[in-house]
Amino acid sequence: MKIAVCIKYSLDASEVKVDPASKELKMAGVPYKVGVIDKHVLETAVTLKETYGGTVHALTVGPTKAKESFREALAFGLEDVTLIENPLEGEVAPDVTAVILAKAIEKLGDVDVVVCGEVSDDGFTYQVPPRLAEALHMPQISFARTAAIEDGQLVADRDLEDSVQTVAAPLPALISVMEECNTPRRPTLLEAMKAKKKPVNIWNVETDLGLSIAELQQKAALEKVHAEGVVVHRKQYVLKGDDLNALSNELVDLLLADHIIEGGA
Amino acid sequence: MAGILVYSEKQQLVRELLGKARQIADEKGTAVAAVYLGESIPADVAEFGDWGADTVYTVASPLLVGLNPETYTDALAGVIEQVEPDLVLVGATKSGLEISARVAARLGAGVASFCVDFSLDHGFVTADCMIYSGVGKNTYKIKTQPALATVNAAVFTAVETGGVAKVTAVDAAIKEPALKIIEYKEKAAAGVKWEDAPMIVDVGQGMNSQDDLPIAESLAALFDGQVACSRPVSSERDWFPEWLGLSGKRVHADLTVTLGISGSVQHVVGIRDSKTIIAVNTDENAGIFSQADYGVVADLHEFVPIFTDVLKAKSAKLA
Amino acid sequence: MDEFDVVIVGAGPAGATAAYLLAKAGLSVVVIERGQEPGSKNVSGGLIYAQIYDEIYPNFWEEAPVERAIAGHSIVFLGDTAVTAMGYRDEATAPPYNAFSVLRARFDPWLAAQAEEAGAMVMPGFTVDELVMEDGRVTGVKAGGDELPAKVVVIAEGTRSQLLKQAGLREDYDPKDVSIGIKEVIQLPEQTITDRFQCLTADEGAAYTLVGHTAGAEGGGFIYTNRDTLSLGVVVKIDSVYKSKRHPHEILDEFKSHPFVARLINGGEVVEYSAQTVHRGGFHLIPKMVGDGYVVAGSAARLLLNNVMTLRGMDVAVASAAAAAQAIIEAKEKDDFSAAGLASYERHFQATSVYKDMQTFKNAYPLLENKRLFHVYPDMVCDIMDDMFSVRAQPAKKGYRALRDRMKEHDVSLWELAKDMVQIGKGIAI
Ligand SMILES: Cc1cc2nc3c(=O)[nH]c(=O)nc-3n(C[C@H](O)[C@H](O)[C@H](O)COP(=O)(O)OP(=O)(O)OC[C@H]3O[C@@H](n4cnc5c(N)ncnc54)[C@H](O)[C@@H]3O)c2cc1C
Ligand SMILES: Cc1cc2nc3c(=O)[nH]c(=O)nc-3n(C[C@H](O)[C@H](O)[C@H](O)COP(=O)(O)OP(=O)(O)OC[C@H]3O[C@@H](n4cnc5c(N)ncnc54)[C@H](O)[C@@H]3O)c2cc1C
Ligand SMILES: Nc1ncnc2c1ncn2[C@@H]1O[C@H](COP(=O)(O)O)[C@@H](O)[C@H]1O
Repeated sequence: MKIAVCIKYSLDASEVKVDPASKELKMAGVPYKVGVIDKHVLETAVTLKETYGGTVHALTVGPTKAKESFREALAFGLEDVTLIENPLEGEVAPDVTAVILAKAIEKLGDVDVVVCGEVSDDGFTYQVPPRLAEALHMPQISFARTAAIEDGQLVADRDLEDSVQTVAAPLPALISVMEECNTPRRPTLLEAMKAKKKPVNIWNVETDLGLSIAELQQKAALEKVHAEGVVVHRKQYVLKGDDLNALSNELVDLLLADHIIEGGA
Repeated sequence: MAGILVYSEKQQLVRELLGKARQIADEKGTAVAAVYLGESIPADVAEFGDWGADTVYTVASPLLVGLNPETYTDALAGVIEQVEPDLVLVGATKSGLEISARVAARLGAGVASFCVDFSLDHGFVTADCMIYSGVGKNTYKIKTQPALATVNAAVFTAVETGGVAKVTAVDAAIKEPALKIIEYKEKAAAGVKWEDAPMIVDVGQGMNSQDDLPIAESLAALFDGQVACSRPVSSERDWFPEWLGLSGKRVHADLTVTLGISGSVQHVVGIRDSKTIIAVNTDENAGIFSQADYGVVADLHEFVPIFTDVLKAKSAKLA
Repeated sequence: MDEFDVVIVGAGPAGATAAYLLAKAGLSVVVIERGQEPGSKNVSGGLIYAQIYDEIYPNFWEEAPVERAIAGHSIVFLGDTAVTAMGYRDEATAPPYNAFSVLRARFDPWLAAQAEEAGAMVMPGFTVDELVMEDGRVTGVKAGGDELPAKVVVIAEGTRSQLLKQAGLREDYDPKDVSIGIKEVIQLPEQTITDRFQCLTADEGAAYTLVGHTAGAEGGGFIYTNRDTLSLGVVVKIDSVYKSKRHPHEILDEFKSHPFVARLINGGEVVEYSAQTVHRGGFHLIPKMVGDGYVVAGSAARLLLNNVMTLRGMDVAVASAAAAAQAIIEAKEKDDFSAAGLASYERHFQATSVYKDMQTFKNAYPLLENKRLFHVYPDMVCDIMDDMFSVRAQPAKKGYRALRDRMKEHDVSLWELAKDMVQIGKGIAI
């Protein structure tokens, strides 16, 4: 079985701060890393491989400097990681990403299962997996909490707001998993050292995938015209101390004084 | 049709989307329509007219069951192709997120995810979208027609207009899906709605055990409030069927008290529209304190019962 | 996996430099670093003295992520509201530079990259849990669930070094020999920093050592200019922090509240806060640097030069690492990694200019214990300056009169002053 996983070098959104005066998003120094969800994606793929046999190949669209951060991914026990250099300036739009990933999966050839995350930490669009399924003409099991192969079909629990469904799709198929689907392993030192020797391939969209950058640029349907931070004003009054009675009284007095609650005896 | 098409499998969300769509359409002199997809069409489907729809387009098919993404994509894409709207608003439920992206891929259209505001100008759509889990907001110009946008619950407000909608059945080609639903388990219906509660006690992983929930319930009871929770408390511990936050519900309470919540951006998005926030956490460096009006550095299990008693003692209204 | 020649614990300046030199000499080397990235766990003022770095990494400033070349050094005594300062600046900073400010989160990865390019394997995200011992000899390390054998282990894990103690290879520290460094990175616009610190360009920076106003704890503060941030902190003796009953953060807050400091950081935003122990420094604290199958380098060996005016740990670390690397290369030639085979380490280290500087300032350490230096003199000096410069209704005094009056006021006897002057003299002047 040949498994392709899509992972993303994401910025850590929890580190993005907002300047309260200018509403500017302060992006300097915000770290990038392999996304939180991606560890679950890798775990899903590697567990499938261990259970049913096969190979796992990771794909990512991003900046070349992301190369180093995929060592950790390789340590999960993948065959290789291929980084497809982001052909456009700035963030990669989900519509463009899906087109590129589809082409790369076709190039890998004979892929049986594609594993994605339900949503990326920073893109946060939920768009790439369904768009990719469309492009590859594959059925997709979204919001999966489990993953198994039974009688040549991909079988998983799909978790929606009002229902949990056990669904099956003939291979090749795409699955996008939720964080709750598993607990990712922690690769050991020796696994990580072996992974250091594995390749991170770099593909270029034009020379390796035969796509035209000009056409990809055309495809991006959204044009960013403005960005700003969301400023929330809170009093941030913090009480501490060992005497919980005193703390409670102090807090209640404050709430009364600020008319958050009503007094009267 | 030029104008705005609205779809969600959640009827309340359809009404909210119609509310905003109607307002914009009136400003621009264009039309609003709702879409209903299902096995059969309920008799009261025209009632969307009450909430601002000029037309309700329906697709009925035995294949439209279990929110199967393939058949729902076929159906929605079919409607859009026939109706040719400028903008399609889709409720950002899990199913909505999935099929909007598939439809868009099929039609070569753009989707503005988690849209919180939009406008129609000179034939194109501009949308404000939440980014980085709600830390920021991007404004996008959507270059395609149709343009799609996904919208969360409680972003727009439903407005009763008392209009009348024309119901039009659309004949969309729906293929036999590759994805089969083997078993369908309905989740327990959530009890009271958090969205409308005047007060919320928001429980996080800092609460040790489900047996401690009465601590939160007694506090909530003083305010006729509801006890809600963070994602891991629901999805991993299974104490509640739903959670608050980016991927969960959003509340607009007068007062929200968080107990043992660390304050991740994804969670705070769900409570930040509360008027007042009180946070209780043992870790004085917890991020929640910068998102709260009042913070208490204490063990919730010890502090909350005392706090509840003092509230009762000092406020006649609460006692 | 084959046995490595060298396993290095820690990718700070010491570990990374040892790795670089050893890999360059053709040895097989792996560096294990606890942080998710080298530098992510490091606390440092971030002023590096360039000389030894330039020897090992020629013209490193052209490539390495340095912040500003330091053109001005000042020592500032903080009185209650006044300051007395002594400054030095070179109006024409040019290569070879004397010192740079660096941010460790950026500089350490660069050092690690040099080691990797030379052929070492750097493994961040793993903690060495213990040394593997056989018959009193170190034969490898345990980390990340695996055991990794090595001919020699370089222990370069910084001040908090636990491995040696765990393995019974060194004694515990005496708290009176330990200080705590508390540091913040404060963001300000690049131009504001350039103007406020009177730098000629954004490539040029200033370093301040400050004495006084540390909430009753013995120690001093520093402010170094980075490109668009300031590194600000205090290094105070841990026992005096205990005694002051203050939280370390409160000591930093008090320091920041001094008007002189407050003005320099005005409008800035704290973007990082960290704290770490530092050794007080001094030869008597240096443990055995060599044993069977291991060497200790950098601040794991408590190597630090502190003479009140400058705190040098990063260049000392690198000098010791280079000496250790040389000894390991020689041991490899002889295929003898016993304590005897590695013994040339100490000799090589003693031949470095850094070691010689450490010797020069070996009498400076008692100064760090001198309470009057930190709590009385800063204020007193400012008062005397006040007497010199202020015109008042009372008749003016000449220097000596002013000094005696102010000594009385601050409860300092002539004998104490004389003793302290000798101490200062021996420590840093003569
Ligand atoms: C794409 C994505 C979407 C997500 N969407 C959501 C979402 O919609 N909603 C959501 O909630 N999360 C969401 N998350 C998860 C989110 O990032 C956090 O992991 C989660 O919110 C943490 O929940 P918590 O605060 O309950 O638990 P923790 O982060 O574990 O925090 C527990 C807190 O309790 C404190 N504590 C411990 N003991 C006590 C005590 N005795 N008394 C008082 N305090 C105590 C601790 O100091 C700690 O701060 C999402 C994550 C991702 C990646
Ligand atoms: C507040 C403060 C200000 C300072 N200012 C200056 C200054 O301006 N100039 C100067 O020259 N010096 C300064 N110093 C001293 C200087 O920081 C240190 O002397 C220097 O960093 C020592 O380098 P090192 O390589 O020996 O150790 P470190 O830089 O401490 O590196 C040790 C590395 O080992 C890693 N590690 C630790 N344990 C393990 C383990 N078990 N397994 C794996 N990895 C491990 C750590 O994560 C770390 O990366 C300052 C120190 C402090 C605390
Ligand atoms: N740049 C990318 N490279 C590889 N996979 C991606 C990329 N962006 C998104 N994905 C995949 O799509 C999922 C959902 O991301 P998103 O649509 O950005 O929310 C992620 O979890 C990945 O599996």
